[in-house]
Amino acid sequence: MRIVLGIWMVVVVILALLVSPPLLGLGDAGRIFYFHVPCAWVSFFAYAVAAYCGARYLLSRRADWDCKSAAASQIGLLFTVLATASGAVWAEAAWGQWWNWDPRETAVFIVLLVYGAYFALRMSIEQPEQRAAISAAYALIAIVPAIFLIYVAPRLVESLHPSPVLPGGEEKGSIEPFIRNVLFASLAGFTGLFVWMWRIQTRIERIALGKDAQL
Amino acid sequence: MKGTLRGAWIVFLKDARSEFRTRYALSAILLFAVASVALAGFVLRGAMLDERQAAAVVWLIVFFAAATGLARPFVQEAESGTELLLRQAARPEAVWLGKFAFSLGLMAAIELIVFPLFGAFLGVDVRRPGWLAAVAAAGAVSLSGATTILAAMVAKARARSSVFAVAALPVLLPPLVLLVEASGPAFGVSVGAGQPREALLAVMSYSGILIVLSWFLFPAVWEE
Repeated sequence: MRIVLGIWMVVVVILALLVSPPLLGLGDAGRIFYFHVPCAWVSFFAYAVAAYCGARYLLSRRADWDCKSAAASQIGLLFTVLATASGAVWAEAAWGQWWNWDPRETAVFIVLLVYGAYFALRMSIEQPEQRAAISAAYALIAIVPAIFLIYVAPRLVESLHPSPVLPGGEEKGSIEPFIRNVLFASLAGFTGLFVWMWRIQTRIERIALGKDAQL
Repeated sequence: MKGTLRGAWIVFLKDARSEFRTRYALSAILLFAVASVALAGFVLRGAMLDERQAAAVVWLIVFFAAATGLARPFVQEAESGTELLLRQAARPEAVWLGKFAFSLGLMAAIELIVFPLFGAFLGVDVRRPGWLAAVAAAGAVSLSGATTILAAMVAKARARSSVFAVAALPVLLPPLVLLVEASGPAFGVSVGAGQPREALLAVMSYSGILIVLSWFLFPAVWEE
């Protein structure tokens, strides 16, 4: 898997940086689009996985689901930081300012705080079973503001941010087929990267729990 | 359901009586609210706040006043060692509902103190008191609904009061932003008629989802 993923990502980087035409009237700076959008997608996907694993933990009480949920939240947090940073680079290129308090920009930042709070809460509980149950419940609660902030809030308030370009967005089909294909290839690559990182992080969580021998 | 409601009423009465004896949460919240409004009035003396800024300041004060006391119903059980007893005596749903009702009462007290004081200290006119009351009611349900389960989680943690504020603020930020939007007409903002109503509906939907989710998740948190 690692080798296929490595080759895939190299091809995506070459296509995004060297082959794809400059886009969105931003010149070469606009190429960050190929990395910013997948980072935002992976962060939300990771939080959905964390919530799903949290629900499975509450139903089964198997520690492995807690490890998976915590691992997904950590990777989600990392990709949210990357989405926020790459969004700031894009904002500087497009609007001349790193930070504009744009609803979508701010929403992603608040999601970062929500999952920062997840780890603050998780680290403050010593007893493992209690920590797992409360983290699982918080992961399920946290998905509500995450969905609201990413999908609902930007539609309630005027935004500088371009409309979603993924299927379901208002401007579906409005981008060039080549650019769209490279974006989808990047999305697939980043999703694969998430799965790979998630598996490694889950093993780390299992070792930290001292459960590795039992699983 | 009848048993749950009866249990919730007993839990609510227990918390209300305990609070009436100690007045710990209520006095802390009310002192914080009065001090915050007075501080805002002093810092902003002479400044002409526009309607949106007034709405933002008043809701921030309400949030931080709530953050000082809304964890109390569960933290008190953990500190006094009565958690296990309550777990034996009442069903989780009854505990959640009773604590939620108690938090709602605390929120109502905060708003009844903060809004009139804010108007008096900062010279802000309320143009549509009926609308403000509707937004304040939605805000009270939203803040207490979301914080009830968070308080139950935080009661199991170390450094409870700081963790509560850290855990509650990001979850409550969306309704707070919407409550500021929705409060506009009460202070005289002339915006499109649909916008504040949409914001109020969004607050109610967000709170509804969180309350339903909390109801289902609470037994897992409480019985752990």
